[in-house]
Amino acid sequence: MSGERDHELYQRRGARNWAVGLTLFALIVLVYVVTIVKLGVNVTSPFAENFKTGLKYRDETPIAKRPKHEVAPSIDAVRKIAPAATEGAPK
Amino acid sequence: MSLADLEGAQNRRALADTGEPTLRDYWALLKPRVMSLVIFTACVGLVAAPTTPHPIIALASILCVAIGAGASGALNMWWDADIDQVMERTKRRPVPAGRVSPGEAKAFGLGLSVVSVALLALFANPLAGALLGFTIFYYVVIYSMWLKRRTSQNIVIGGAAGAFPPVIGWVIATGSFSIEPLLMFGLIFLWTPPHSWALALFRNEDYGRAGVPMLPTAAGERVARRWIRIYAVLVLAPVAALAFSPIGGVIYGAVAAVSSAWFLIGAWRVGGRAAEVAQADRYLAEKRFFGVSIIYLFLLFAALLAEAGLRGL
Repeated sequence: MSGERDHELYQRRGARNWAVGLTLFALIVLVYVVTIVKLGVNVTSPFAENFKTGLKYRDETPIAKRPKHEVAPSIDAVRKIAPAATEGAPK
Repeated sequence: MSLADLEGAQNRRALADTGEPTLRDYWALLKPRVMSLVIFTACVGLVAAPTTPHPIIALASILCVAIGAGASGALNMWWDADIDQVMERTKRRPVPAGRVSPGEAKAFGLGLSVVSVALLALFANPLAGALLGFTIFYYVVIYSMWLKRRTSQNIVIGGAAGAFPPVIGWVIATGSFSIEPLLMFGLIFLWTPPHSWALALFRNEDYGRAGVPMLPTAAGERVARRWIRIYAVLVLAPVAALAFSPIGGVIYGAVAAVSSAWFLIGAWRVGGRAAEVAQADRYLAEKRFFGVSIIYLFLLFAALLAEAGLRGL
């Protein structure tokens, strides 16, 4: 009878510990999900804008036909502003 | 009964004495039936509001309200453990039955209160969190600790705690108050006394034994029956006002008219019965009216939900 009682006690404590653990995990997930929702979906992919731009021109539209703000600056323009950043780059 | 059955029963009694609760006991501490009503009315308040938050935020916020309601229940069970023990209706609850210690129920309730209020303030807005915190405080301190054992008007004033959830739902959605949630508040506030006094009529001995001054115990059955009629009429004011409010409509109006007539007929019948007649049939009409009152509230809020759904189409 004592053995059965001890086993029952361990079962109850084990169940309670599992419940506490799962509840804490669910709480963490909930806070994470709500944070993502509040900050906006794009926060999960910081390069989303570049990715979207890349998708837009995946048919390899020539650079000359793309809007100016979506074209990366030329190497010469960068060299004028920050020469050290272009060290080693082809002329 | 076999020897194995006897040993099993002895084991269960021994385990109950250890104060080692099961998950079911913790669940029972939360008063799930009250929690479900709170969740439902809070959802209606949220959905009926003119703006709706993101579904994830809405769900998370309602979860916080549910946890807050459960916390109130646990704290109430901690405080009322002594009177729960002598009442037939409540003596099997976890604390009076010895399965959960009073200290554990208090810690459980306090912990859930803090977590639910803090999370609601973060998920929705600080006003909603503050309102939930105030609701918990109102139910535990003002109703359970102060009014319940002191005055026959305990359920009139203390019943306001049950009227806050639709307001909280509205504030979650909009971040502010308006006339519509106040009407929903008024509806539940005025519905609570006749609902609770019907219960007190057929549980009069129980409340008397526990020393709780419910109106039938403190002022007599005849007075309680008269006031059930009065409040059944008074509740028609917010019910009718909601029909003409922006969250009401034709469907709500129709449902409110039919269900209010049903509720009023039940209240009138209970109000006019003599104590001897009621005792003879074991308070059958009072028990029926108690059930009717629950269905009445459910129908009204379901109709508001339907109106909100139609507006969204």
